[in-house]
Amino acid sequence: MKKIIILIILTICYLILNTYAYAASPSPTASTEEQINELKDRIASRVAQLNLVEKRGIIGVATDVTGAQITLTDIKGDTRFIDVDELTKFDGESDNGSFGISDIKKGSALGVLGLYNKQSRRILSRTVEELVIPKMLNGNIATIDSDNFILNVATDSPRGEAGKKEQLQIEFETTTRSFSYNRTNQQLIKSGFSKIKIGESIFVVGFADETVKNKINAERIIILPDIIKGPSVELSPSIVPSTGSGKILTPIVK
Amino acid sequence: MSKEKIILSFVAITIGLVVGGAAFYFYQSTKVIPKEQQTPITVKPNQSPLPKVLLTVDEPKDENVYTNRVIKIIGKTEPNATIVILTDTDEDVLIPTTTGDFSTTVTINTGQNVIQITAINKDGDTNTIVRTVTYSTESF
Repeated sequence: MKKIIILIILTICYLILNTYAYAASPSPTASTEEQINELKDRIASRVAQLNLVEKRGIIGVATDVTGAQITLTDIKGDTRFIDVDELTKFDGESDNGSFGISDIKKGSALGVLGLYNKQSRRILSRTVEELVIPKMLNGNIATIDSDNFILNVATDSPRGEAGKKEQLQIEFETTTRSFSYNRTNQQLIKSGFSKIKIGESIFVVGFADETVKNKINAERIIILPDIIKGPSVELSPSIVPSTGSGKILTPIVK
Repeated sequence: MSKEKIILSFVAITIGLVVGGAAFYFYQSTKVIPKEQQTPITVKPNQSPLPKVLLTVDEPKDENVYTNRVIKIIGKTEPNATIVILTDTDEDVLIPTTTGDFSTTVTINTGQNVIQITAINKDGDTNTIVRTVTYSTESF
């Protein structure tokens, strides 16, 4: 009988302690749940925002500048819209010292770094920098003017104008670095103007001459002597140099 | 409700639908757009010819921003082609593997950089891909 009473007392004690422990443990209240839900929503919203925007850098030529928007044509020829705000930093040459959106003119080459919104397809710029974009082209050597160190190059793929054939004058300057590729040794070897031959494939990095249209001042030249005259490139030796002002220069006949 | 009533209702609904459909068809067929208001749509074929040399560039992705100056260039072309890589300050010429894969690294400058990757075959046919990449450690 005693045993039964002790067992009953122990059971009652256990139940009381258990109930007390349960009551003492904190239970989520309605306000805590609200806070958790709010936090969840904020995290979800932030994740969605991060997925929607990404850092991007583009290069293009300004076609329009209004208030807080710059319209660019990028290297591929696509139109891009750039938004400018108070956090946007500008870098470039200005008459009054500090370069800003008002100094950007139509035709200016710009490099833009900012946040690209995948939905609106606009870039919220963080830095806008004025650039000088080098010209990169490839073709075949049509004629060589050894007296003036000029190469006439027939090209069928000048950058940004795919499919358009063009003949360009490449000025070989004293600062021009030239290389020839040896396929057997798989090496780029330093080369000179005298080693360049008609028909060879040429790759040029340079800058457009401001005074003569279709003339590039070469900074670097790579010659591939093993690859002679592409079928899609017509080598025409008759290049008429132009001054760029529309006046055509005619060769002097003695 | 008797069986006859149900059948009659069903028949009446069917007849109503047929008559209504026929009336709508005749009404639509009377609508004619005058010739002067018709604008012919001509689909022009893509004029740019397909490149004769295969070239794909897996890395770098266009307009990507990097926090390292040295970036990988990975792609695929034809096994007998030559790859010429030009950047604002650097140049490289590669021969792909027997499967046409190629990879190298280039060093980029602070700010925007243009990377031109050209595949050229023995006949002089070319295929060029241009990538714009940016080096920046700025956080925003």
